[in-house]
Amino acid sequence: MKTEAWRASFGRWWYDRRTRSLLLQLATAAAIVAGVAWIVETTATHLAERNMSAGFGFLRQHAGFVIGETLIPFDAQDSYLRAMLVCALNTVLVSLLACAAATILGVVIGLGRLAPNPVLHRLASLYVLLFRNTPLLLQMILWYALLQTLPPMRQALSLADTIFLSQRGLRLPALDIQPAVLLAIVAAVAAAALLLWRTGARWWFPVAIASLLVAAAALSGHIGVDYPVRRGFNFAGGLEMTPEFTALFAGLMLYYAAYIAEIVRGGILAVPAGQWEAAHALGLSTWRVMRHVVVPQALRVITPPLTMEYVGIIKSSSLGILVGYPELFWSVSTMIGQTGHAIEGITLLMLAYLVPSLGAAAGMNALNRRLLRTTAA
Amino acid sequence: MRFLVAIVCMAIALLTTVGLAQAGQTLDAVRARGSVKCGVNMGAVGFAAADSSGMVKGFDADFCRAVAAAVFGDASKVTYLAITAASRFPMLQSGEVDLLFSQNSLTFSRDTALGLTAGPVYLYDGQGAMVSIKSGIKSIKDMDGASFCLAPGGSSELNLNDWFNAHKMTFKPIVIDNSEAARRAFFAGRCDSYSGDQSDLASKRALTPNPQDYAILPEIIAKSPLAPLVRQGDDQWLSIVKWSVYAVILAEEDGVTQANVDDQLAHSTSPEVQRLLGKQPELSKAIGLQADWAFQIVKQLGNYGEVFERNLGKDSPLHLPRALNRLWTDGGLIYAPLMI
Repeated sequence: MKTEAWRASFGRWWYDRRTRSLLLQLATAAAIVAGVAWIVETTATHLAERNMSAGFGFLRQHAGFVIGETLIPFDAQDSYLRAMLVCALNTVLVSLLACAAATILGVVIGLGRLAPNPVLHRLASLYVLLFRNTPLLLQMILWYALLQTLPPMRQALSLADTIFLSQRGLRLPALDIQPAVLLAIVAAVAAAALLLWRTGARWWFPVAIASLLVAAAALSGHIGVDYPVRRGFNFAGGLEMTPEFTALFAGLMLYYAAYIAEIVRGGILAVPAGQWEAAHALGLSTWRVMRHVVVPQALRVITPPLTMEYVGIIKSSSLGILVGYPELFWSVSTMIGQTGHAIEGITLLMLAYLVPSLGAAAGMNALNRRLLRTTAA
Repeated sequence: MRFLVAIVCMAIALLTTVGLAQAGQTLDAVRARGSVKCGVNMGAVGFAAADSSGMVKGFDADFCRAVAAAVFGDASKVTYLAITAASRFPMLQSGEVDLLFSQNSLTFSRDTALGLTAGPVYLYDGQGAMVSIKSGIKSIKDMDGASFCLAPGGSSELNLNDWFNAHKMTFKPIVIDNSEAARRAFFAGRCDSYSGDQSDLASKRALTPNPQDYAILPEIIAKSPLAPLVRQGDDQWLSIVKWSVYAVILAEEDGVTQANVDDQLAHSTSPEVQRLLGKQPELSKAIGLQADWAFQIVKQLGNYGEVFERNLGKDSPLHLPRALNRLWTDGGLIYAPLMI
């Protein structure tokens, strides 16, 4: 009797949809937690058995190696943690530049694919075909190898002795500007822009103010140009684009531009033909049709897959290690080679890539939401 | 790719009990398998590179073969595994290889923190720099501001930095993940110099079509004692590796060569030669090997001088002088303990 009652209550409980799904979810979560705990526990035990030290304390040790390209100062006496930071900034730099350049190139090629001109159309199609269907790593190594075939430094190709191109990379004149002066100009222009925007003035007002300020600073000697000059083993001064950076940047840009071109093309084709026809019927020029009718609607389609490509660029920048560009993966790899702390290094690396990737995804999602709102309104 | 191997090895090692060293375990596993798994820097001419018939030859390869000769009496029972700078230690830790003869410089942390332990130094080398003759560079002291191509993961980056700091000079490192790409970048002219162990520089130079265009500068910026590595915890295996190296050295000290080893075994009256070649079998029992283990090494590979000259010295494309690697009796550092 008692068992019957128990069975009935159990049945009610077991066949209740919510209770059962809750139970199953709890069981799954418990299994995952147990699995992770088992891996951590086993790893720790076996590390100890093998006399291998674990922990993140080594990050405070002197790195001892030098980094070829840095945005902020780095010395071999600095810690491994700072080495990672310096290289992470390099990752950010190359990723941002590659995202921007790939987007511009991608839009151009995507529009080229839609162009009625058969030559333009075929060329754009060929580009997409070629760059999407060969491995990125192969392309990067090809760019790097091609850059090695440039003339040696002593016979560098030069343009009016201001721009030099050689095996050692590209040297450009750089703007020599004190940070305080730059900051003052940016602040003045921003203030002017804000003021004029509020009062409904023209866009060229802040531009004019900026030009005036820059001209004034240049004349008073606060802005100069730093020209590269040959000195000893290399050029001194100017802005340097090393072959390592160039191979990575060009590889990312050209490869991802092919994907972005297809996304742009798809986004534009997704706008119903009726929209085009209606806009034309209103007498709008092709440019205005694009600007006010097609692009706003296409952007809604384009933004989500574009996010994936940006995240892809950040992750693929780790291939820089294979062409000698000191990015995040490179620094962790060197660190592991020197200290043997592979598990800790890989863990840090995963977290480090998660942050910008999730950041890019969050930013693009916010943009997408805004686009949806504005087009819905 | 090298990363993937390293990670997979680590994962296998840490989630299973594979490769956990206990005394005797490595020798048992090697015997059961029928071959010694030896991690080498495959492709390094003079150290471990396949010849036209596919045979792996070189200084490191010969020492792997010495261990196989000691264990099996047959130097051919070696399985060579190609290592990379990042994968070599995880491969050893995980039991993927039984030992490393892979141009490793012996350092404090490699001998302690990684759960590894080193055998005797089998090559006394030093880190130097290679330049193209056209550059006209005669000394590293003239190289303030120069760029250096470097192979990753090693101690060479650290040594180079220490040296330039001490001389109040700067340099620009170009470190490319795989050493093959770093080598190509140097020979293509990307860097002013390539820095590494001098024996390795000679090895890399021997691979170019025009070796006469490159010079290895005479300065040594840091010492590089090359030593084999095994896992901590299996003392018997460590002894076998150690004494395989010592046997090669002792043979040269005692004047035993590949050619005269049979004769020496039959006629030598020197007690040390008799002990080395196995006339006192009870000595070998302590190490767990056949009485003729050292005889087999010398019979199949020769003594230290022969191994050196064949792979690195005058009979090789590297043409390295013996320098520090002469016997101690000739003013070098090669010195083995007593065979008693």
